[in-house]
Amino acid sequence: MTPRPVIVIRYSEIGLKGRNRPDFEKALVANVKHALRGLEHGPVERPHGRLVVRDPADPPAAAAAAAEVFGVASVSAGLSVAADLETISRLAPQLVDDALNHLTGGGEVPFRVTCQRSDKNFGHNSMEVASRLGGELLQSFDRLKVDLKNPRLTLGVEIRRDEALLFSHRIAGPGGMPVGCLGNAVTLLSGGIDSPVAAWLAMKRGARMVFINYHSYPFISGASLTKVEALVQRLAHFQRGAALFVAPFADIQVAIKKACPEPLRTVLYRRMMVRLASRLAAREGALALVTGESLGQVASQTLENIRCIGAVAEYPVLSPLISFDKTEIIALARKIGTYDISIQPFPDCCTVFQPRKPRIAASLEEVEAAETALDVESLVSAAFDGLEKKVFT
Amino acid sequence: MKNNRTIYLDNAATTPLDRGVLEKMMPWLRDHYGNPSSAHPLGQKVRQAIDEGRERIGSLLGAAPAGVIFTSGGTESNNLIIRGLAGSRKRSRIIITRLEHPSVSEAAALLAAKGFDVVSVANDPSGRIDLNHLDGLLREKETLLLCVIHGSNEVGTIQDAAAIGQIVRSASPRTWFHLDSVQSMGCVDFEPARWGIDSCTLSAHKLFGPKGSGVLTLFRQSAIEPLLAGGGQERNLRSGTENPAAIIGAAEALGLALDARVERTVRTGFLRNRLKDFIEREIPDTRVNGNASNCMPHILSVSFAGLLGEVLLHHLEREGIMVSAGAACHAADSSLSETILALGVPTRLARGTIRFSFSHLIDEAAIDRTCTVLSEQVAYLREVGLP
Repeated sequence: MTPRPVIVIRYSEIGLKGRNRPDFEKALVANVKHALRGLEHGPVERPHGRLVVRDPADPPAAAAAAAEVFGVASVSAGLSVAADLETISRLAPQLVDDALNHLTGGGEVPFRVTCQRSDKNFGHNSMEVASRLGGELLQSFDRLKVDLKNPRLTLGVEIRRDEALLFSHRIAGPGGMPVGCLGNAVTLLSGGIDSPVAAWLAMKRGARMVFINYHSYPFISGASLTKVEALVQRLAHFQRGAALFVAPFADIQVAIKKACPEPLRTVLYRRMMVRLASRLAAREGALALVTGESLGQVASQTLENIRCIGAVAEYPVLSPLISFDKTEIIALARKIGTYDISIQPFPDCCTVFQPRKPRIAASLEEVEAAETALDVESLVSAAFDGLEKKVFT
Repeated sequence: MKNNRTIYLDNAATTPLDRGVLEKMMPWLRDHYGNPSSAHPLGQKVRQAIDEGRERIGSLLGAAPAGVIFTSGGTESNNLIIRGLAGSRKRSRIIITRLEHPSVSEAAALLAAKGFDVVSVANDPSGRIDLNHLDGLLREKETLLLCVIHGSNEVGTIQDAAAIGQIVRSASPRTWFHLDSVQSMGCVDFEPARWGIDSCTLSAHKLFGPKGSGVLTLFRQSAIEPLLAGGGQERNLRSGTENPAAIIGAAEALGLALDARVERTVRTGFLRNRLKDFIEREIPDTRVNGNASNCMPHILSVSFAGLLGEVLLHHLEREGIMVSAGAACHAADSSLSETILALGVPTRLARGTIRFSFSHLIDEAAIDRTCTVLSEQVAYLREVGLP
């Protein structure tokens, strides 16, 4: 058997999920396959506790793509070779040499060999394999120094019935849970920095996002939607496609401006947004709303206002960023590739009829009193009927 | 957009390509691919077509063929004359107006940063420049260049090119007089000799020709430094392989525009006045910008108090009516256009400036529909208040 390239994908947390585990694993396989779209590869197999991608044409690219999938603990590009010790010890130096070339800096390299043996009929136990390979490699490479506790280089060997997998490098995955295994949620997506990060964090824990954006056309340009679309396109990458619903919001804003006290506008807009998102959640079978709220960041994000806004939610409102500082949010936004999109200078609905002095701490009583001047039901229904759906793959 | 029928009132931004012009361009896109600099017959056929285009434009504009320099458009033509003339010359005065297109004002700003003395001639509230002020500026100091936008792209005001030319000749005959005639071409009888201009700019896509096609026409010789170094095409003023289809298209578009000038301008002016009269009669608290008697027939700039131009633009666009906003993009954005500021339009009006620009292709029903929609939308937005 000639050595063939493989990608080994490890997952941790879903390994603990008892009876749901097969579902989680299926979701993970599907997500990995989606992440590998456009990269040539063979079958994706699911031997116990691992995913193995066979024959990737570009192993580093495939490994990097798989390492973005939620639920993945780590990824290695390696080789599948015949399950005999002679072959393994002949090929191991190749991998080690390659790994050494990728390490930065010179000097000694602490290393170890780890071995797992699922085929107990293999003629040698794990300890024997590890110590024999370790000894051989030490003789071949002057730079190596055994260090079982803090290795910089680990040669991994997994011995199965009909193959051995060798790998020398691990890329950390994002962890979390496979997207989709915990159901759907609706993200209230503005064009800003926070809400895309909130969506990403909720996806990381296994929820699949449906996006809703509120658009004040024709008070702002239709072109400003391109930014929101670019954000959804980027986020769709993490969850095998996504749907964006754009709600016409101008009529609601005009009605609020005409009939309600100016300082309450922001809170009233957001209550309308939450109502629309709740209705969308019901229609799309979602179980929660996700917002980019961060406590105290802006006027609508005081505890009082969050309470007033959340009071009209028909689903739990998840705000993964609630305790994040802006700098932390920005760092995450950069990491997931939404920051540069978010900072493009397009106006969004929040800038339309912005109150000069928004109420910092509205009471539920005054907000509800203000809304008696509105026909909430017909405003929400009209906007809901006007939702436009765009699908991103 | 609710309405399927588009009413295009943005002809000062660009015009649709005339089918006849396209027909003339097609062989040079489709069949004749030779490089006009090639010595063989495939190249020479293209060279000949370009030369014919050059001769045609020269004869239409009253210039020698050698004075016709093909460029990528109005912006390049204006940059070429302004920066090219300044070139290695000593730092002296450059006079512009406050109504210039950015391709003139920004090019002049670059030269100001290099030490040229760039000054703006004053204008009246209609946008016509103050000839006495111009005379004073010209006499006071050695002036290299005077750049004047013949017809304002934003408000439509036409300058008195003949009177300006006369002042230049008597006050400072060595000064180069460049006329940016991108918008005025085809609107007024073009008389470069009587006006005494030294160069002018033309852009084909404003005349139902192709985009990416412009001409700088020189009526006298002078040392001009090219913007591009290269193969020395266009008498070394514009290196780069010529674009034969764009050149043929420009010549054809200009020919059609000048041939049909009178009927087109009468028609266009009639449509403009129909909308203008309606606005003045029916929509209160508005101001028609520009000069009432010296204006191009295709541009109507109106400021509506109490709203934002861009917001009105999107409300009209939703009804299928395409216009331009003349001023600020947003309430928070205080950047008003230099032209509107130069006319002294008060801020509350200036922020609500819209430019309607017409062509002979529009019918009266479209104008009447525009009147109806405009008056509804203005009333609605004034009731709603500023966003």
